[in-house]
Amino acid sequence: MSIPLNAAPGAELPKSGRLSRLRAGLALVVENRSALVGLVCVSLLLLVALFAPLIAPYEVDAFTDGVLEGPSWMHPFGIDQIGRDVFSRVVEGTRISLAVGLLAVTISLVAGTIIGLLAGYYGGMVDSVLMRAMDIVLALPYVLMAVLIAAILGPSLQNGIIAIGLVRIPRFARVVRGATMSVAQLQYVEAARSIGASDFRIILHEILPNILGPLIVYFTLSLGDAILAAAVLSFLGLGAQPPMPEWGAMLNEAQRYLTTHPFLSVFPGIFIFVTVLSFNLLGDGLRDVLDPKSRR
Amino acid sequence: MNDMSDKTPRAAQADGDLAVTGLSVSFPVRGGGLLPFLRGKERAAVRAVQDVTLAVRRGEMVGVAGESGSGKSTLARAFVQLQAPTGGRVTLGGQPVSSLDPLAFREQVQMVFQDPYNSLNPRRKVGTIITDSLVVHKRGTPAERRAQALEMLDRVHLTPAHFDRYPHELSGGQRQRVAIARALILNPKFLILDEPTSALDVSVQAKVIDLIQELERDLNLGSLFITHDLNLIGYLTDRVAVMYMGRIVESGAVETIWANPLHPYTRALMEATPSHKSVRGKTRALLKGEIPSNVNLPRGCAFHTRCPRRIPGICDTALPLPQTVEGRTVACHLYNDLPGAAPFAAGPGEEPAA
Amino acid sequence: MSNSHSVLAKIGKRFVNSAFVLLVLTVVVFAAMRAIPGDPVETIVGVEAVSEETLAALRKEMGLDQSYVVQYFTWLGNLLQGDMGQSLQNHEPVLPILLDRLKATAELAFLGVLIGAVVGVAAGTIAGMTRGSFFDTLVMFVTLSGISIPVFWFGTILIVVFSVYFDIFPTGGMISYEVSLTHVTGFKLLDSLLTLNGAAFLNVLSHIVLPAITLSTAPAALIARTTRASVLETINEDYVNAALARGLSFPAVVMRHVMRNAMIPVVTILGLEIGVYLGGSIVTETLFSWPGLGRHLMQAILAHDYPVVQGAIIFYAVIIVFINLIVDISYGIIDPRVHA
Repeated sequence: MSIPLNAAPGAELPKSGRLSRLRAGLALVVENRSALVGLVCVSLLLLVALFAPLIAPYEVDAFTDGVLEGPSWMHPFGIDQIGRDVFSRVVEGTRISLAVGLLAVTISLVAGTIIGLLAGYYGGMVDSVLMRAMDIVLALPYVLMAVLIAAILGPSLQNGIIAIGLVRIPRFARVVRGATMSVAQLQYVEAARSIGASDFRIILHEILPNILGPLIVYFTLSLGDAILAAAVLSFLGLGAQPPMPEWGAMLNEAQRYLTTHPFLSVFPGIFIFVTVLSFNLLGDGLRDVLDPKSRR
Repeated sequence: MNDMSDKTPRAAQADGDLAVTGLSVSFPVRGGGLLPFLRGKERAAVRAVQDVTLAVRRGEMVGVAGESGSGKSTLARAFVQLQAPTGGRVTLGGQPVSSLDPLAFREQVQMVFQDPYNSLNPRRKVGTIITDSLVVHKRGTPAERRAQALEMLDRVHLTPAHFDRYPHELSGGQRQRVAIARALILNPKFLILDEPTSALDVSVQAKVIDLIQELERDLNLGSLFITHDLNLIGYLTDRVAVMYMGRIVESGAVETIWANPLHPYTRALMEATPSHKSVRGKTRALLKGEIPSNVNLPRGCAFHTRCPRRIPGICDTALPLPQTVEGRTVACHLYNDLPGAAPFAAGPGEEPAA
Repeated sequence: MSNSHSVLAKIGKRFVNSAFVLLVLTVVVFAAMRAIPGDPVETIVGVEAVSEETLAALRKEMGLDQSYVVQYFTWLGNLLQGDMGQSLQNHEPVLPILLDRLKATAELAFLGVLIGAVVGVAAGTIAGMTRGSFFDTLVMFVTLSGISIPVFWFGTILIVVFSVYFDIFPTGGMISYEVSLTHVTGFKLLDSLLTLNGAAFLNVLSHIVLPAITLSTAPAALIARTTRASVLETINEDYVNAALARGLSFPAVVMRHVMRNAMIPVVTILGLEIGVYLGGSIVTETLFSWPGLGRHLMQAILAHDYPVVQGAIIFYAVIIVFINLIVDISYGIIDPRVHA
């Protein structure tokens, strides 16, 4: 999943300052149908997460007067095994999932970017050592990483986030390293060196701003993956624990009623699916806009 | 255009020269696995620059000419400490630059790069690019830096409006002016120009050349002008060094060499230059064959594989030493008092035997 | 000749790298297992009241009174000899159980990846050839959904529809209790074929269909997208146009040139994402009660059976590193442009 770098960012964009470049970029997103759909869905999900307490008709842990009832006008997603309104819980789950995804990917982003910048900029021994270390992390899928962490620290949502964040560090490092290497050979980096700029200054001012494109694309795509991974871990019992209204944990609880009350498994699953799909659509679209050369 | 009789080298200044002595740069060839071990101890290397000695004085422009692959760009990068030499040394005012504070060195020696489309960070505004030199050297307040940058923009014939533009909003010529401003705002004593016009449209080239000439004169710069364009060298520079495969084959005052090039390679280059008066309209097929690989250099004189005046048994075995002949330095066996060696007769139009 | 030397050197280098990665992983796993709160000896004896002397004797017997470094090397030495210790649950040696479970995982994973590769390559090729068509758009959307859908939820839906509602396939397990099968290789589909046991074959097949389809979604989607991209890339190559100009029909050209070149990214994708698919197989096995390595690992972690947990993690790591190594090497041989 390497994302080639757009060698001349902004080269195709019209010529008048940052604001209009942003506008032109937005126009490209709008033209790109999948990106637009993704953008709209992600915005909606953000709104739902933001206003979850206003949208949810019930408290997440409040008992209603029924148990295990299918969808109705009062309870559009039904009532679960101990009488909680599933719709309210799913809405609250949006908050959890978006926050979880953001936290996990931020861990990967920060660590992966630092490692990738150092490896790509300095090359040689630094590169070899860092990338060998990344190989080691790559040999552990996130489920196994979560198993290891859960074994030491016990299963919890927080430890799941750490596991997911850790596992994606090498992927970010690879993306950033590749982009850094192709920017580092450009003449403006050499020009910065020739005026006496320090390595730190060159990395911060010359390289980082010019690898943001692939980084943003990969960040967006990773958000979907991380949300999915968090749900998987919770479903396996390694992440969020009941009664937290995390979607994967809800599906775990619903598993026991699969043969009798399958509707309990439907709505949290649809929300995971739509959320991940939205981020993937947006990420794919952003890639087309920010990395026109890497259509795949 | 080729008339430079009025151009005499200006006197050396007391601040001292920027010079390289016996400079060599080679790059190890990466990869190859076990092969180097199987072949022998020595690892393959690209010998980009070999044993080059060259000095630039203040107020003087020195041209370096050669084909691509001759090592002239590597030489330029070594001059500004962007490339660590593998042999020899770089001195500034007699001091080895390795003993100088890096920032102090860069204050005095600056560079303009070949490709202005590549040498300006696309994410930074022109003003930021130019003032960045001052920021790195911790000079002035933001307001002072801005004022200085605006003044610099004026010097390179741009307007204050360009301060807030992004590089992609500028033309190639304007970009190169920005690159020149970035280098000169530090008020350096020496300027290294690595083919500063080769990426520009012909119509723009002349204007940038005029600007460089004007600035060089006004600021009393010492400059090194790297190019493959002999016409430019003839027009601009006081002295010239012709490079072939990492070595200087002929160097001296431009008018001396241009009047009568002695090294067969210099002759060949000049005869391949269309507007050169001595050979206008003549065939360009003189330089036959490819440039040999920089990894497996030919034995002896590197030029012997393409040389029309090659002396068998000598040129392909021994390295010619630099000699002072007719007021310039030339490294060629033809001038080494060797048996069978007959120098060129002066005068253009001589057709060497194919 | 010189080429074969550098290829050998590359293979050697990769091999050393892989061994190094595994070695460091054993340190990580060892450290993680030692970092688990609680005294392993007390975990073993459980709630029984035991005297301090007995505990000390047990500690000595298990080598727990020695330094961590000594413990690690003892443990590593045992590991290399195939001794992964005993399960805390049933006191059986870990390795034979894991090897047995691995067979079930391998059967499921093989079928899942096979389905994924066949469906993915077919869909991707047709989509690439009919670029912009309705089918192409459909494939692109379905594959994006395939990447985005939670594996366990997709499996859940399959169970609800095909097991609960239509009652075509069983909800889980690998083989029904009443079906007998002679043990030959331990691979149940293979054994039933070898022993010409039709009933057992159909029984195992009916169990494996849903989990295999579940497992195949992610690879199918990714392979379809990759294949489509490389078909699009190759279709514009000169030699393809030349073949068309020579009068070969479009499908024939696709079969001959495009498909072959498209296989390289498919192999790479499988190699790169093998960790992801193994992660997916853990989830799938848990969901379908498939008696494989993944389900065993999940049961072990819930039972705090740490020897099994560490054994299983090392197992997975070895598989991932090994497959990556094979893909790297074969990729390097197929495509000489790939450098070390």
